[in-house]
Amino acid sequence: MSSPAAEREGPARKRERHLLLLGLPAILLLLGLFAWPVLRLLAMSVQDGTLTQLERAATDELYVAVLFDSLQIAGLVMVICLLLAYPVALWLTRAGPLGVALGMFALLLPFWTSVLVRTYAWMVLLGRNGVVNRALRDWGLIEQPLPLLHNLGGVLIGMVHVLLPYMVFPIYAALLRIDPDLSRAAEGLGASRWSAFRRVVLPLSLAGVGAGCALVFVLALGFFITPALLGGGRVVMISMLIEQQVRELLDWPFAAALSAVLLTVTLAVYAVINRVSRSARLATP
Amino acid sequence: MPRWIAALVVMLLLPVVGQAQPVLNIYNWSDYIDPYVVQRFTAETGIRVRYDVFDSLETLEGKLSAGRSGYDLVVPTSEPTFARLVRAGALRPLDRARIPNWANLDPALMARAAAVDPGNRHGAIYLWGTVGMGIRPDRVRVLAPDATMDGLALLLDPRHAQRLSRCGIQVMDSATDVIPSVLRHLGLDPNTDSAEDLRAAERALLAIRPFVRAILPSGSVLDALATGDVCLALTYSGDVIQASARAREAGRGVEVAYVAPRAGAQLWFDMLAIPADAPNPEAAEAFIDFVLRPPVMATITTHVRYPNAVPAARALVSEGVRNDPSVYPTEATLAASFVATTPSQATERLRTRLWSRFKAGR
Repeated sequence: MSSPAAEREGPARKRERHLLLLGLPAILLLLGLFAWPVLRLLAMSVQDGTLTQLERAATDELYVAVLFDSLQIAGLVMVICLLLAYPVALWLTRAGPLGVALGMFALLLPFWTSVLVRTYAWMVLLGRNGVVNRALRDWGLIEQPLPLLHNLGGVLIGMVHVLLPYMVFPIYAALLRIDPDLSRAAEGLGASRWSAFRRVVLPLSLAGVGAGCALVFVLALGFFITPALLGGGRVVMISMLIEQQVRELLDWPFAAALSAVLLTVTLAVYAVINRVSRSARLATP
Repeated sequence: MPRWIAALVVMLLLPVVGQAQPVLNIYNWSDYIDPYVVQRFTAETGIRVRYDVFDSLETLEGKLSAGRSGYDLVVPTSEPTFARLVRAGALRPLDRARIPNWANLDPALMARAAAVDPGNRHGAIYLWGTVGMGIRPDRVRVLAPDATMDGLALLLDPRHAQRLSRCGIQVMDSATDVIPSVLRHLGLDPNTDSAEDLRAAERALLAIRPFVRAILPSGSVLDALATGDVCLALTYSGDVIQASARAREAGRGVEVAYVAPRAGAQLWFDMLAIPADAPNPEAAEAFIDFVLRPPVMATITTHVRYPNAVPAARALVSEGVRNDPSVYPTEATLAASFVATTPSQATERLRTRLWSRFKAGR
C-alpha cells in the first residue's frame, strides 16, 4: 500500500508544498487554540519552579490506581469495539447498495447525536425500572432487576456505543482499499475462504485496525461524561479526578500535573499501538 | 424597506425596549418556590421576574465565578458555596434599610448562619434543613429487625449496611455534606482538621462501600427514593420529604420516612444573596423583603416542605407540614445539631481525596 505514495514523491514535492498552504489556516487555528493552551496548562504544573506537583501526580497511590483503572476500562472498550466493529465493517464491504445505505445510516445517526443525549438515553434504558429490565421482567425471565446501570458494565455499554463508529470507519476504509481480486486469486489458487480471509484480507486490513484501536483507546482514556453519568459515582476515571481538582479545589497546578501524566500515558499508548500495528503490517508478505 | 428587514430591526430592538421595564433576574434551586409567590410579587411591584433554576451548586458557582452572570438574586447553600462567594467578595452587602422584614428572621438561626458570614452582612436565610437518612421503614424492619432507626449506624454499621444493600443504599455525592455527619457519628469533631480523624471517617466509609449501590447527585437520590428503588439514602431532609410526598402520590405502597441522626445532624442554610455585579440590586432587595413576610414564607414552606427562618410564618404553614417533625426538627434534634464551617485548604484537600477513594474504591 505504500507504493502509490512512493511514486508521487519525486515530481510532486513542489505541489505538496502548495498543498501545505491550503492547510495553513487549520494549522494556525490548531496551534493558537489547541497547542498553545495545552502548553500553558502543562506549564502550570511546574509554575512553582519545582516538579513536586508532577511527582505527586505520578506517584500518589490513589491517582496511579485510578489511572490504571482508566487504562483498563479504555482497553476493554477498545477490545469490545474491535470485536463488534470488524464484522460490521466486513459486512459493509460485501453488502449491496441498500445494505450499505442502511448500515451507514445506523452508524451515523447516533454519531450525529450529542454524547450527553445518548448517555441519558442509556440511563433510561438500563435503569432498575428501565426499558430493558421491565421487558425482561414482563417476559418472566428475571424476578429481581439486573444491575445494568451504575456499574462498570453500564459504563462499558455506554462508551462502546459512543466509540463504535471510530472503530468501524477506519476498518471499513482499509477493507475497501483491498482489491477484491486478491481474495479471488487466493481462492483460485486453492485457498479456502477462511484462509483467504485470514492470510490475505485480515493482514491487509491491519492498518485500519491499528488506526481504529488507537482512536478508540485514546478517546476512551480521557472519557468523562459517560462514566460520570452511567458509573453511578462508583466508576472513577482519571478525567473525573482532574475535573474535581479544577472545580472543587481550584487547584490548577495539580490538575495540570495530572493532565500531563494522562497526556504522557496517552502518547505512550498511542506509540505502542502504532508500533504494533506497523510491525504486524510489515511482517505480512 | 422590505418587510423582512423591518422584522429584523424590530427583533433587534426588542431587548432594548424590554429593558425599560424593571426586570429581576432570579437564579434559584429547581422546585424551590411556590410559583404563585413570583406572580404576586410582579403584580404588587410591577417588577417583571425572569426566573432560572439550577440543580447543583457547581452550576451556580460556575455561572457566578465567570462574572457578569446577569443575576440579581441567587440562592447558594451556606457551606460551601455561599461562604466561598462571601470570601471572594462576589456578593453585595445587603442594605437592610430596604429590607424592613429582616426583623422577622429568627436571630438564633441567623447567628448559626453567621458562622460563615460574620454579621450576616451578605445573606438572609431562605430555607434550611438537615442532612439525614431517607428510609423505607417497612423494608428496614424486615431486613434489619435489630437496628434502631434513629442514627447513622443504620448506614455506617457494615452489619446493617450489608443486610440493607439487598434493597438498595445510595449516598449523595457531596463530600461537604456527608463527611461531617460521618465524623459526628464516630464521636469526632465534624469540622476537624486532623488527618487522623479524617482517616477514621475514610475507614468507616470504605467499610460500607461494597454495600452502597450508587453515589449520585442529590436530585437523583430523590428520584430513587421516590420510586422505591432504594430503602436507605443519605441526603438532604427536604429531598427526602419531597420523595416521600411523591411516593405517596404515586400510590404504589412505597412509604418513605426521614430520620435525622440523633447523635447530631448537620444543619444547612440556603441563603438569599445578591451578586456584587447585579444589574438591579434594588429589585432583589425588594424581593427579599417580600418573601420575608410571614404569609409569603408560609406559602413557600407549605409548597416545598422545607422549614424557613421566619418564626411568625410557622403558624401559617399548612397543618400537615407544620407538625411534621421531619420538616421542622424537634427541639432535641435542633439542640444536638451542628453547622459545618469552612475547612482549611489542606483539610479540603484531604476531604476531597477521602471522597475520591470512597467513590473509586481505591
